[in-house]
Amino acid sequence: MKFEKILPVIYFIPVLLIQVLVVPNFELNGIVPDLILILIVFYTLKFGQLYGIILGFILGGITDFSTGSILGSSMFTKTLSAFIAGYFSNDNQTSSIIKSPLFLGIIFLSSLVNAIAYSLIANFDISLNIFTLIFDEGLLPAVYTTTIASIVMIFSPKRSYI
Amino acid sequence: MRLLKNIWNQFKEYLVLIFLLLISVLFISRSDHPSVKNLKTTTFGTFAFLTSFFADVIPSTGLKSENTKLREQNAKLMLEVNKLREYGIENVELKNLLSLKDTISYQLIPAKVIAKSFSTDQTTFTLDKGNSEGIKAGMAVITGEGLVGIVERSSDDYSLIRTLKHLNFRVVVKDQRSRFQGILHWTGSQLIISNLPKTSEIKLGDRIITSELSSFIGQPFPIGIVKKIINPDEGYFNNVLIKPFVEIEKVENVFIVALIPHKIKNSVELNYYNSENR
Repeated sequence: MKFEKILPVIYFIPVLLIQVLVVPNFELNGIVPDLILILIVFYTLKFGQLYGIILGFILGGITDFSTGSILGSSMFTKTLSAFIAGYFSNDNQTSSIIKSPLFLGIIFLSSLVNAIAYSLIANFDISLNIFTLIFDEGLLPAVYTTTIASIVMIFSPKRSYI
Repeated sequence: MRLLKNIWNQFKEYLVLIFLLLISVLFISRSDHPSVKNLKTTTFGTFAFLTSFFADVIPSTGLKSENTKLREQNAKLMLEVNKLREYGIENVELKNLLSLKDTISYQLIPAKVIAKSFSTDQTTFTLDKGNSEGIKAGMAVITGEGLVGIVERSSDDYSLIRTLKHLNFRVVVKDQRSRFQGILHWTGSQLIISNLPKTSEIKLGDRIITSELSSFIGQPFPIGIVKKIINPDEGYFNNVLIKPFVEIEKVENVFIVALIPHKIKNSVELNYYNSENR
């Protein structure tokens, strides 16, 4: 296996620390962006759907273990999100997708699926209606994550380090 | 082989996805988090609705009502016989007491098993009756042969039963002859009473019934007979293997004992049970 395919696991550690320690300070009405998802989607587009699914499963699992959330919840949602993002992976156009607005669209879609699935597992309430589920629990976190992804995309260095 | 290879090449993303999602679901299902419990309740309610819908498609209405009545009668007789057997033994022990007041009346709610879990270490049943029939968490579930389990939780129309063959099932039981008490549990492959003192006078073939000391099942329901006594050389305790009267795998129809032995005691214990499961 190429070293670059192990890189996301290494990058994951500081990203997880930021997600756990820094990101909660930027919560808006209890909604926080998901940096780990951005990392997974990025590498899914770079290395393909199958790679992304496995990466999502591993990083989701580590997230569950290290944050004390329901074991399997992030595992499930990140795997599913990577699978969705993997549909847009294209060997010939990876770099152009990552630098285009399409990347944000993919982040939005994956984040939406991730947020809804996570909400169903971790915050499930019988009184939850479909509109609350999609809007409050799905769309808002997805918009926030996409906004952060766009900031990262705009201010990311021109030379590729990852 | 080539076919498998072709299938793998064509659908590997989907196969890996399904495999990994199943592993995730396995982890999630082991969680005791309240939202997971809510999700389980809703899922089992939905699944039970579908199962009962398809089960009802198969016509068997001819003898249904008569069978139900006979099964109910059978279960009531079993309980009566068991109660009389208990009274016989207690009569000897308590003959000096002035009176022994019986405040118990058994109300049996017939129910049909509409779904069963496939896990050998966590066998659960879904029944086609729920809160609307007066079924509550903690109620005992029996057949004509004996105890099947207890109601773990219920929705309006369905109930989930934790059977004897569930790792989290614990019940205080006693040997009907020697009166020794112990805690019965399922190890994943065997039903045992563990940590019984070596001095206990339990013999092979003794009848084991639920004890009045049990938090949830405060009535004497038959469980099984002593099949083997494991007597280790070291230590002070024996383990006793129990052969249950009820063949859990074959159970299709059950009765829920809508029994409230003592209102206040029951309320306190159910609150404890519910808070434990929160």
